[in-house]
Amino acid sequence: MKYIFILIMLFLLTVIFQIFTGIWIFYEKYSFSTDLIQKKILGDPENFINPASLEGLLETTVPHIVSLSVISFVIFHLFYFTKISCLKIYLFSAVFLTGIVNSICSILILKISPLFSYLKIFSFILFEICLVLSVLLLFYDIYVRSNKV
Amino acid sequence: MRYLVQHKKAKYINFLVISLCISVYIYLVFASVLRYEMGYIYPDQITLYIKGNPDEFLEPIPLLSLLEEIHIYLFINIMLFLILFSISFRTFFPDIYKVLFGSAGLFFILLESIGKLAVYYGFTAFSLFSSVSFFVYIFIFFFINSVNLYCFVRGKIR
Repeated sequence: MKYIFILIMLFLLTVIFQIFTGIWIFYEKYSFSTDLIQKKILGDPENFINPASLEGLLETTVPHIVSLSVISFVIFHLFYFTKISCLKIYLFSAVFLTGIVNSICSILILKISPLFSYLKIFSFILFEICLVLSVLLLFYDIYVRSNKV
Repeated sequence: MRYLVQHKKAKYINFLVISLCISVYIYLVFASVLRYEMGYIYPDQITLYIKGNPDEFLEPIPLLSLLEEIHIYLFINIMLFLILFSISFRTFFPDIYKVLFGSAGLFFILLESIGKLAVYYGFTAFSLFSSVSFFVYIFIFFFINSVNLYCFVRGKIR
């Protein structure tokens, strides 16, 4: 049991590091600024930034939709071995919805309105908070369970 | 999985697992060849790739590109880990070795990524850790994949 506990903790640590690199990439790319998001997607002639193409945005969006569905399933299926509560179902819904919204926001900014940049930042922050919260909850549940055994 | 491997259609799942094992071999070989071709496999090559060299007019890699590379490969390795070890738990390989190999694999996946970031921030000694970690986790994946293939071909499954 002790060794499996170490294995699961290492797995969750790797997932936490993966989340951390995601936040770092977002910070490097957009600095959590709506102006910068709009400039990078819609272009900025003053700073010689070309507008993003739909193809380029889809190349980022499509793999992210698949990977976030898989990673949220992988994390939340581990809750099956712990006590299931409403909080975990809400967390899963929040992670899944905010992840999808965050992925498609770039296309909405390009095609509909730059105002979606606010939604992009909001959904990204909510997505990361819920994901980190769910991993921490999993850490806690497994820790409590291992102490009982 | 227990249902699938004991069911009368077990030959079908055996066929799927064997095909998966072959594709994982191909992935592991090509991932290693890619790293070798990029000149990004030995410690001095890793340092050169990440930090660049002004004398040879080699530019350092941008932080965003490095982070994206780490982010993508971390995801691929997590998925590969989950797939290989979930199959492995149905084989007759002793449980303690499965857990030890799994823990070592995850530790070296983490160390490889952290090593690259450390090299970017000037700790060039970490290129050795990054290089060794890459070889170790590729070896672990290769070994577990071979065990899975052997057990499913010989029917040594629970």
